[in-house]
Amino acid sequence: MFVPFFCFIKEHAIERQQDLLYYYGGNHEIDLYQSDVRVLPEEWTGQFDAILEKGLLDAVYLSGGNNAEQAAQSLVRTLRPGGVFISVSGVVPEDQRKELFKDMEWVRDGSKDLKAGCFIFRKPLQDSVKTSSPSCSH
Amino acid sequence: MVSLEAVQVQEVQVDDSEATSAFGTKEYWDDVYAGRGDFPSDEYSWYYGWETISKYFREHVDGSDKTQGTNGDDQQPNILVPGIGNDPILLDLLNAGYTKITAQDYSGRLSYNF
Repeated sequence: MFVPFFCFIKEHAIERQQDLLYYYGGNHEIDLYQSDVRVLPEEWTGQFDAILEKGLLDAVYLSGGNNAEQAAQSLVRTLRPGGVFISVSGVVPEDQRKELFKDMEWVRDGSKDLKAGCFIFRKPLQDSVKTSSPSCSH
Repeated sequence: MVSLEAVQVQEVQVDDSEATSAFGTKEYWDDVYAGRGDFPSDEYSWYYGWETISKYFREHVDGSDKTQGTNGDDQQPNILVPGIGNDPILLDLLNAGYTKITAQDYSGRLSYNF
């Protein structure tokens, strides 16, 4: 298919973010990666102070299989101990969410939020397996 | 000036044959961001945005009080935003003073062929 040279097509999510950042300007260090969230790089282990996801777990959950478990484990691995995981999510069933994040400290249970829940988990400082019945503090 | 620290792409192969919804397939999301889907391709904020999330973020993310400081980036929280899609929340984070951010998505240009 012939594509005119001026037809500069920006495809898909990562390219869209490049556009947004370009128009934003300013100084920043933003790394953009196209990758599979279930198999994030080993060198990311324990690197992040915070994770913010909006609807990712929902989409992964809807992709079936045990993809949600793999994604949650992969993401939690990249958090440092004490790091915070903010999850805006409305599709994952609550019993499954409790299982996915059973080893995390439940800082905020968003299951009663009117729109999608804003769930906040903290990775324990030590690898103590918690028997968590989620408690919420707003 | 704009300095994209790094843009790394790899072809992402996913098995979504067991998907229970179109929202669970990569093809669906590739189409959305290419302008062929059910949601705007330029930008779309899922559920709600920074106006709702910011209070939780500031309260619970260590180092949030240091974003306006003069101590340099080493004081900044290192933030991962997985499944960024075309969500403008990266710009919200930047505007709020956070500069140490990694964003990820499985949808990219490499799967597109003319």
